[in-house]
Order: sequence, then structure tokens, then C-alpha cells
Amino acid sequence: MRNLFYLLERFHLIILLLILEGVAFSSIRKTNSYQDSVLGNASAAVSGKLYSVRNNVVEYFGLKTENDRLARENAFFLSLIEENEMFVVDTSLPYQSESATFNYIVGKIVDNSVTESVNYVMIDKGSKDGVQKGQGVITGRGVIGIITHVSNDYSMAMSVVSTKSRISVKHNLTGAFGNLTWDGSNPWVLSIDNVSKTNAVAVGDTFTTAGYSNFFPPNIPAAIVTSVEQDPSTSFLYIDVALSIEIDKIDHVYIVKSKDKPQIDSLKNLLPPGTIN
Amino acid sequence: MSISYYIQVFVLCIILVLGQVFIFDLIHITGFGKLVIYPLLLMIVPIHIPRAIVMLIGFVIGFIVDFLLGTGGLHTAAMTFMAFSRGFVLDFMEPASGYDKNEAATLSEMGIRWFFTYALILVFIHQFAFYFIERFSFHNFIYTLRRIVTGTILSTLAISLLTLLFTPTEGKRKSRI
Repeated sequence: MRNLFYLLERFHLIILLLILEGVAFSSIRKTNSYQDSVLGNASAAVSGKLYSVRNNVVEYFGLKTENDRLARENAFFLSLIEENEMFVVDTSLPYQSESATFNYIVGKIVDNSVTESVNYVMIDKGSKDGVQKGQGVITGRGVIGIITHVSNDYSMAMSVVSTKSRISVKHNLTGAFGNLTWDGSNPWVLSIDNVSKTNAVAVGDTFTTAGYSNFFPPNIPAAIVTSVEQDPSTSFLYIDVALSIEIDKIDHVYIVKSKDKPQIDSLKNLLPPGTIN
Repeated sequence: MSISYYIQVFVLCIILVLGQVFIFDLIHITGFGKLVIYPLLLMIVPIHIPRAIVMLIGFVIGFIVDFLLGTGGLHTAAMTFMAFSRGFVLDFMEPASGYDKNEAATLSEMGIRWFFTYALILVFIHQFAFYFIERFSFHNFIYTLRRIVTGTILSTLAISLLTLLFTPTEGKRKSRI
């Protein structure tokens, strides 16, 4: 105990320096996105290693349910192939093909959160596997998020359950477009805005990805309507939705590589900002 | 320490922080570093004050400047680091006769040559910390270095001039100039 006090006395300036600089840096991170991305990429590299070691152990306990889920997913894909035999090249998920607009990188989630206001999913694939910032992350049955930080071996995706996330979706029956957003309170309730009252949206309907921004391929299921309300003061509907997947129980994901995204983005950059999302 | 001394310190705080925010922070010269004058506040803290307190003072000054400029924690981080280094700089520059008990590290107490060197070293530390935290990499090192060096020279000159004009003093002013 006396040694501890001696140590504290001897190094109290350095300890105080570390504490104060820690406070300053956390506030730098919060306000400056550049420093945030540098630190985020570095921490993705370190914590990714750590989490994947932990995940290797924990994974065994969930093998059975995960197998079930994958088997069901496979069955779903098989049914898709039968339905769309002529498009097989474009829709078969894990295959890589030069001509396909979308190619997929199979990744495993090593860390996942739903309790923050901006939630991240960490994936064990990084820039050496071809992951880049701005690529979408999906499973066959739903949308996970968009890659925001990439290190050599790992990447982090901002999950759709984030107050900063905004994803274009469309109603599967009427084709009406809206934005999937989250208000930050309950991670199982998201909402869709900008859908006008003229569209007949009912509880149980599905919203799928619109494919506009090329983060995601079109027609991936995203959310299921849980309640619809009319807002008397505007011409829009209040739509509450649940995600089509349980985002905290996902293990394997696909990272979407879109061949056309660079071209589409560079064209959009020619327009004044805010013209289209 | 008399009340008049604290009033002088308070007025100097207001002048330096507002001067930084409304005048010196608006001066941009391409490729040159920015003029900072508020580190003067920390330089003239009396020498006998415990170093941990000096660091807290530096943190608070940086925090106020950051708050007014909306720069997150950049000035806070640089100021805290400068406050940490101040103790070592004072040790390094201690005259052969040692410091007097109530001596402040000001120009009127220590003389112009001592104060100029002291200001130059501390401002360099501040600018070094500031620009490296701002850039956050060693990429384009020469450019960063140029900003650090020019910023240090300009700021040291400005600080030396300011301290000639206005330094809080206790009682009668000694003159060593």
C-alpha cells in the first residue's frame, strides 16, 4: 500500500497528464470526423483481433442455432434460384462473377452492439479482402448496415440501428419510396419516413432495399411494418417497422461490392450537394 | 497575493482569450502557422504553484478557448501538454541563484532574454502538440513543420510584445530591462 502511494506521488503529473489528455482526445473525436476515422481504424485493428479470439470460443455454444439458421437461409436461396432461373448469375449470393453488378464478400461478425445511439458491427474482413468504406452489409434476409471504418484485417459497419443511419427503402406492394431511420430509443422499433398517405401500407407489409444509392442490391428485405398511423397535419404516414432479421443474433454476413458504385458516386458529385440522396 | 493582482489576472484572461477568438484566430497566412496568444496566461503563473494545479489551469484555459472556437479538444490537448512541460522547462532554465519564493515567470521579474527563451520553448511545445494532433499523422511532415516553426516565431513575438504592454504585478514593478 505504501508503495502504491509512493508510486502515485512520484508519477502523479504523468497520470494527471494522461487523464486530462484522454478527456481532450475524447472530445476531439466527438467533434472532428477526421481524427475519429483515424482512431476508429486503429481501434478496429486492435479490438478486432481481441474480439475474434473471444468469438472463436463463444461461437461453439451457438453452433446449433446458427446451423439451423444457415440451413433455412440456404433453403430460401434455393427457392429463389428456382423462381428466377434466368437471373441465376446475378442473384446467387456468395459467388464472385466478373459480369455481375454486385459481388459479395462473406464475413463473420466478431462484435455487435445495439445499446448505443450509433451502433457498430465489427466484421472479420478488411481492406486485404477488398472491403472498402461505403459498402453495404447484408444477410440474405435483411440489411445490417454500411461499412464506415476499415483496417487491414477488420472492418466496422454502422448498423441500421443508428441515429445517423438513413437507408432508402421501398414498399414491396406499391413501390413507394421512404427512408429507414431510427430515433435512438428502442432498438427493435425503427421507422420509415417520407411515405405519402396516398399509398396503402398495411401492418405486415415488407419494405425492401430500393437500390438507389447502390449500397445494397435492390429487393433485399429490410423491414416489416408493425404499425401505421396517419398524421393529420402532414401528408405523410407514420410507419413503425421491425427489422426483418434479429440484428443481435447474426453471425455470418455478406459485404456488398457494387461494380457501378464508383461511377454513380462520381456522377452524383457533379451535381450540387443535396440534389439527390 | 492582493486583490488587485487577481483583478489584473482576470482582466488579462479576458483580453487574451477574447483577443485570440476575435482577432488572432482570424488571421490566416497561407502556409504559415496561426498566431496564438493565450498561452501567455499559463506562462506567467507564479513559479511556486504546484505543477498539478498548473496542469489543471492549462486544461481549463484550453477548454474555454476550444469552447469559444468550436474546435473540440485541440487547444485543450495542446495546452495540457504545454502545462505539463512547463515544469521541466522551468527546471531547465533555473538561474544559478535559484528562483525566489514568490517569483512569477514574467518578463519584469526575470528579464527580457530569459523570458524570450522561455516563451519560445513553451510556444514551440504548444504549436508542436497542436499541429500534430490536428494533422494526426506524419504525412507531409515538412509542411506541418513549417507551420509549427512559423507559428512559433509569430506567436512568440506577439506574446513578448503583449507581456511588455500588460503583465499583472504584485506591488511595485521591478525593472530589469
